[in-house]
Amino acid sequence: MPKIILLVEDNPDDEELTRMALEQSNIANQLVVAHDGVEALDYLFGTGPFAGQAPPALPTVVLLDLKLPRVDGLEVLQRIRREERTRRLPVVILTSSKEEQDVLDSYGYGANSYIRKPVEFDKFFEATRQLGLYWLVLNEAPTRDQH
Amino acid sequence: MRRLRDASIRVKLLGLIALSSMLSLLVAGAVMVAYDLVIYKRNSIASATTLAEIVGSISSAALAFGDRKAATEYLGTLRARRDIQCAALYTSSGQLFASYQRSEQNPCVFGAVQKAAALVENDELLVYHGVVERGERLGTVYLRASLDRTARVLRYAATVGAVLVGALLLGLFGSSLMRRSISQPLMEIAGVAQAVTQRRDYSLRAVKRGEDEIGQLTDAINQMLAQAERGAADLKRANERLLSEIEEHLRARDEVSALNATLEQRVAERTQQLEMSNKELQSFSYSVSHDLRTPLRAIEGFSSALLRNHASQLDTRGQDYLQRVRAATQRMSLLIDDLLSLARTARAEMKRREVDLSDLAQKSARELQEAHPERQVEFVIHPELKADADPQLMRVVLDNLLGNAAKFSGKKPDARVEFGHTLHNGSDTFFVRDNGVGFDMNYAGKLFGVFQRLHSSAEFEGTGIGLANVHRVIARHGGTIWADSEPGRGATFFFTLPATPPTGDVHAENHPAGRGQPR
Repeated sequence: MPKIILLVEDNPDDEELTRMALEQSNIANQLVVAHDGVEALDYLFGTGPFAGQAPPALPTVVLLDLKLPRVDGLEVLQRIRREERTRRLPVVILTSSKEEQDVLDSYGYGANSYIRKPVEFDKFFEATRQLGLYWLVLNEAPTRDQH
Repeated sequence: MRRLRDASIRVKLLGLIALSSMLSLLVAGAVMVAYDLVIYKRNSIASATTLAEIVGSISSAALAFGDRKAATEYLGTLRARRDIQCAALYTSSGQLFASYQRSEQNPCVFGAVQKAAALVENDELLVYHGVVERGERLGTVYLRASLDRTARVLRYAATVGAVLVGALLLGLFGSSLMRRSISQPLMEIAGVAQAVTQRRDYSLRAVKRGEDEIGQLTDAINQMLAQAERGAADLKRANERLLSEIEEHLRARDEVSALNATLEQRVAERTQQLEMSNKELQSFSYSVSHDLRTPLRAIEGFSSALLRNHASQLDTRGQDYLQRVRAATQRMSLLIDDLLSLARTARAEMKRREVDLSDLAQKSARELQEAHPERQVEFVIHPELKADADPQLMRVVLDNLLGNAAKFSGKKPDARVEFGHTLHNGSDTFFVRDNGVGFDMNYAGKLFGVFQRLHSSAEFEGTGIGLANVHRVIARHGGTIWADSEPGRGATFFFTLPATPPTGDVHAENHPAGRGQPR
C-alpha cells in the first residue's frame, strides 16, 4: 500500500510546485490535496463529501499550510491533535510565513516540524526532497496498533 | 438671694422704697415715742404732784382734826382718776391716817412714809407730798399711779403701722408710675434685644424716651446695634466673596476634571488608534511576509522549471531572460525580508540587559564567513565589549555593520574588519572599521535612509535597508550613530549606547537624512 501524503494548500501554484518537487525527488507516493482546512478535516475524519465511505487510510504525513480559507492551518492542527484517531499523525507546517508567533503557535499546538517555503525554487526543491526523504523513508511512523 | 436677684426691677425698687420709708418711719416713730414717754412722764409727775397738792389741801382740815372718815371720803373722790391705783394720808408722825385702793385684785402696800418726792418704779409713779398748813407740816399724801406706758407705746406702734401700710400703698402706686418711666423702656430694650437675637435683624432700634440713664442705655444699645449691623454687613459681604470664590474654585475644579476626562478620553482614543495602527502594521507585515512571497515563489519556481525541464525549447536569449526573471524575484524576496526586519526592529519590545557585544560579533562574523566562503576577510574583534542593550536588536546591528564591512572590503586581498571600543568626546563609543572601498563623505547624509545606496547593486548587492535598520535600533537605545570614510580608504561606523536608557522608547530624534558624523 503506497504511502499517502496529504498536502493542505489553497494556492494552485504552490500545489503544482510541490507536486513538481516531489516528482523530481522521485518520491512516488500518492499525493492527496485538500484546498482548505474544511476539506482537510473532512478527508481525515470521513465527514462532508467523504461521509458514508469507509474511512480512508491515514496519510503518512500532513503538509499543512497555515493561511487557508475557511478553517486555517492552526485550527486544523488543533483538531488533528484533539481527535484520538489523528493524535499522533505527523504534521509538518509548510508555509510562507516565518512570523515568530506562527512558529511558536505551531509547535505549541503540536506540530512536528515547521518549514518556511523558500522563494528560490532550488532551495524549495531541496527542502521538499529532504522533507519527503525524512518523513517517508527515514522516519518510523506510529503503527495502527499503537493507537 | 437668688429670688432677690431674679426679681424685676419694679419689685426691687418697690422693695427699696418700702424698706427706706419703713426704716425712716420706724426711726421717726421711735424718736417720737421716746420723746413722748419723757414728756408723758414729766406731765404725769406734774399732774400727780398737783393732784397730791389738791388732795393735801382738801384733807388738811381733816388731818388737823383727826377726822379719818372725812379724809377717807376725800381720798375716795380719786376714783374718778383711773390711773390712781393707791392713795394714802400719813400723819406727821408717819402713821397711816386714811387710805384708798382702786381695785382689790391689785392690793396696795402702804409702807413707811418717804420724804416728799416723785419717783417711777415698775411702770408706776409714786408721789409723796407733804401737807403743809401755815408753815406747819400736818402729814404726807401718798399716791401711786399706773403710768401704763406699754399701752401707750402699743398705740403708737399701731399708728406707725397704719402709716406704714399707707406708705406701702403709696409706694405701689408710685411703682406703677415708675413702671411707665423705668420698666417699660427697659422691657422695650429687652424686647429689641430679643428680636435682634431671634431674627438676626440688626436694623432694629430701641426707642429713646428721655435723657436719663435708661436713655443712655438706649443710646448705648442702639450704637451697639449699629456697630453689629455694620459688622454683620461686613461679614455678609465677606461671606459672599468667600462663597463666590468657592464657587469659582469648584467651577475651576469641574473644568479641570472635565478637561482631565476629555484628556483621558483622547489618550484612550489615541491609544486605541495606536493599537489599531499597530495591529494593522502587524497584519500588513504578516500579509507581506505571506501573500507577497507566494506569487514570487510561483514566478521563481516556474521560471526555474522552464529552465530546468524545457531549456531545449528556448534559445540562449530566452534562457537569459528567464534567468533575469529569477534574479529579480530573488532580489524582491530579499527586499521583503529586509523590510520585514525593519518593521520588526521598530515594533519589537526592547529588553535591555548587559550584553556581551564581542560575543555577538564573533557569532555574526562566523555566520558571515560561512555564508560567504568566497570572501577572504580577517575579523578582528576586541574582547569584553559590553553594553546595556537588547541582545536581539544588537545582533541586527552587528550583522548589518559587520556584513557591510565585509561586503565592501571583501574584494580586496587583505580585507580586514575590526570591531572595537574608543572614547569620543568622553563617551563610550563602539566602532566597526574596514579597509574596503569606503564612500564619499558628501553623501554621508544619505547613509541611514531607507533604500538609500551609495553603490550600485551591480557592484555590491544590497537592498538599502540595513543601515536604516541599524540607525533605528541605535536610536531606540537612545544612542547615536555616524560614519567616517574616504573613497578607497575604508569606512568606520561609530555608535553609542548610553547606559541610562531614556524613559520613553523614543524613535530616531535625529533623522537619518542630513547627518554624517558629529565632529
